[in-house]
Amino acid sequence: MNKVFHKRRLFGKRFGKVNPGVVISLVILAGFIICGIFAPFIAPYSPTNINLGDALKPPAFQAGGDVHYPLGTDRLGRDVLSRIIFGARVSLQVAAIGVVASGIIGLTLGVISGYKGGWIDIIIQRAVDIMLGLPMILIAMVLAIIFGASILNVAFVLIIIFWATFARQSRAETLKLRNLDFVTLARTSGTSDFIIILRHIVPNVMGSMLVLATLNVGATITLEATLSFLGAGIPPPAPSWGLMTADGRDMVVTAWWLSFMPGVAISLVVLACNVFGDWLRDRLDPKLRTI
Amino acid sequence: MTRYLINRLTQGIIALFLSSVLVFILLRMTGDPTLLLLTPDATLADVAALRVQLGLDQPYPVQYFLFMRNILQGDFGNSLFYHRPVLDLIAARFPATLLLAITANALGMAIALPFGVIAATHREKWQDTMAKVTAILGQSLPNFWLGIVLIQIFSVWLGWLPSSGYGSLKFLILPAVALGFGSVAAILRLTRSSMLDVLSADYIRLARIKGLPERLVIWKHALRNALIPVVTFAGIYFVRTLAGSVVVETIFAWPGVGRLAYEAVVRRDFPVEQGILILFTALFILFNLMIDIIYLFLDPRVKLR
Amino acid sequence: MSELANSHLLQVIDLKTHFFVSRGTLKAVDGVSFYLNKGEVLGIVGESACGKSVTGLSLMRLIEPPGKIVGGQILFNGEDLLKLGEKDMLKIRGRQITMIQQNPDTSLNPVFRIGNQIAEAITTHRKLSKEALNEKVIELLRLVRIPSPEVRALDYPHQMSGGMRQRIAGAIALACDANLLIADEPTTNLDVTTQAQYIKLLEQIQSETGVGIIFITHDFGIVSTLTDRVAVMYAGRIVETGPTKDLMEKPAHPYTRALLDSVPKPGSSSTRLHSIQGGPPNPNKMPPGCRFAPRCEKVKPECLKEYPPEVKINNNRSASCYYVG
Repeated sequence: MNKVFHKRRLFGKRFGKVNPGVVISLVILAGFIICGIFAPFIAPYSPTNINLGDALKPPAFQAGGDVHYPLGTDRLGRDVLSRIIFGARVSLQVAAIGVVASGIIGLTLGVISGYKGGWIDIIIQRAVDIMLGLPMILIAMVLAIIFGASILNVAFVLIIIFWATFARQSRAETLKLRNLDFVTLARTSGTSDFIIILRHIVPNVMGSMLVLATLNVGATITLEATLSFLGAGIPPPAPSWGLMTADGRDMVVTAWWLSFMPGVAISLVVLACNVFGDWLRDRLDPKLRTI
Repeated sequence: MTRYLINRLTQGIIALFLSSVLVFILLRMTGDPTLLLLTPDATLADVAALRVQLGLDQPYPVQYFLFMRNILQGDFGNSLFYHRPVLDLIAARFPATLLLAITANALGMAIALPFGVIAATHREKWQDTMAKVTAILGQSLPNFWLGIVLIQIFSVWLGWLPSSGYGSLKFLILPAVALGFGSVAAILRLTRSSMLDVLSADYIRLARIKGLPERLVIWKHALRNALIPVVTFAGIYFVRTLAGSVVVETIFAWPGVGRLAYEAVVRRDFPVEQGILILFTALFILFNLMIDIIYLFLDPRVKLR
Repeated sequence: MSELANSHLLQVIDLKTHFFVSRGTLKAVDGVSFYLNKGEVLGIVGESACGKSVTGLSLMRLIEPPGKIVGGQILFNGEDLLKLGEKDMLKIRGRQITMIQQNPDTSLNPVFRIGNQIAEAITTHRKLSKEALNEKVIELLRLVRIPSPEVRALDYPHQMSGGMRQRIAGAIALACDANLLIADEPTTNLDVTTQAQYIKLLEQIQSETGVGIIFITHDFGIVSTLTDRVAVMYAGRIVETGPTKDLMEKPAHPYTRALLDSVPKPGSSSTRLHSIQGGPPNPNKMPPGCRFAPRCEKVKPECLKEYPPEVKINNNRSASCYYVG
């Protein structure tokens, strides 16, 4: 009996015909991850180094700009480029914690829900429905008041929001798999549920989990940035992209680059996640194709 | 039909109940909320009085009952900052939020529907590519950044529109665009895929067999069917923009509930934040119920069930 | 035959409809010619995917991309439909040529009342007062034997049975007294009893209205009861035509014979079905010779080289085979 009943070809012979958007997305994502991991080695300055003498320098390409600060400096003279590079680290951390933890929780609950059925299924389903129907930004804001803004707060909010999307998807996939011959066969031959789930269900659900995870990386980054922007996420002086955007907000007239630049970083990374995620979904399951 | 309605209503009530339990747990898991509910200058006697009023000396089920009783009586406590009932504050701000959300979604529908249809009928042509690009951009650009960029372009550089405030139509345009862009993208995407599903149906061919001009085939026969999932989704999206307005209202200093929520975080005004959360949760569920009822009128097939 | 052309309601000459897909060109209809006289019923018979449905849609010029009519003529009352602009074609569709589709579950628009769907077929081509329109709708519903038509006109499609829906499709087709009705396997998705009723209804309507019918089917049983003449189609071409009774009694083409042999004959004691070996050729890679040759029991070397010419058997009959008879 085969473990994975059909391995979908991801990088088949048609790999040569890859669309340029996907390649660019991969380059952006690779850059993002490298910046996140090696920020101290890449960034020209410390993200928190205050240098009031060089405050509010415009980007290098603009009149009055300084080549030492390619993207300009903020009101405390901190290098915007360095802060963006270190900001990648914050976003990467948050996305990694949020997506991995909620993915594991969601996958576990979703597979159990779909495989077991019955009252467990009903309870988990209801919980998913309610979770997805709640105004999450407001919950995060309430929690920010209760606990104070912190990275833990953000991680907690991301997990309680995103596990439900993973659970819904993995349950649907499990339901489809449960009645396939090889699962039924394993069940009638006395294999324990735990082994069946581990050997036959989970490997086949992983593909769509991967797609969802990619798309959710984009969503978690946006949400973190939004919460930080609203003062309910990462507290200053950490270089969160959302926080940086918020900081520059009241200076749009005098220093447009302050909020513009970090926003470009967020947009590029999220865009790359979405383009790559859509492509991955088309590859894994053409039936899910939307646009 | 009545059975379906009763069914849906029961589900809605169950969802309301479960959400209230969840919110209760969320709000109480910090242990003692009295300190959050009182101003820092409150005396120990105030604390003790509030504890009795909230029934914090009682077991949890009783606490939940008291919590719900207060909510159902419209008693959400007083704002720590304004020293006014939370419900009054929210009620005063709600019309502005509703106006913004309706405008943004109406704008979104007005743009997304026709372009979604055109993208579907011009598959793989430039119109379709434009739709794809718009959809992915709208899905990816964070709306707080979009809002700031809009201000930069239209207020700071071009000077055409005010960057913030409330009043005439001029003030409404930028926030509505910032809030509506995401809905344009989402509805565009859904309209396109829904139209593509419908266009391959036999009844579309029947319309052509009748000799109907293509214009009517697309905009009457196909769109009327394609609209069913789109309208359902637009309803859900509308509810989402109500909560999403926190960001846009903050940027544009729009005096709605969203801005109130943001100010409450800054001022650590817990009763206000809690009240907004509870009311919006209830609103979410009620809206979803309404969407299901609208769906009933859109799709005649549902009535039999 | 050409001197008779003017008396034909429809004459199709060398029709070619190809589908341009990424795998190559699928020649779904590849040089089909036939005619239909006024008030006649012609059956087009063949296995699934032989191009018979595409032929039907081509006649209405309703081929959608990646399909395209690439050649031939469709002379309707002597006028070539392939030369008409889309605007003029709109006046023909529904008004003069009309069609009943295969699947009653999906062929009616689910969100409009059936009365309105019938009315639309009328108002597209004619302006009528509201009362006259209502009357006409009720009359059409009566024509297709819908009980209490005044009430049922307000129904939505899902409130009717498959047989009723298919009769509504018939009413829509007949709304403008068209001269030509293309029926594309209208009974395939109905149960046997409903099928028989439906065929009977079509027969009655045909004799009442004198409409010319092209009946597309894979079922020789229906062909024998309903049609005057038959054209047998295989792999995008017509391999044999002739009067129904004559052709069914003395099939000339090996494919027709094989097809007829696979139909259980009433009263025959043998329950064994004589089925044809193999499958039809890939429309992407048609064999150069006779397309049936790979499956033919009587295949000869020349069959594999060049497509056999159409051979006239008598005044009414012809077949494309080197070994007619």
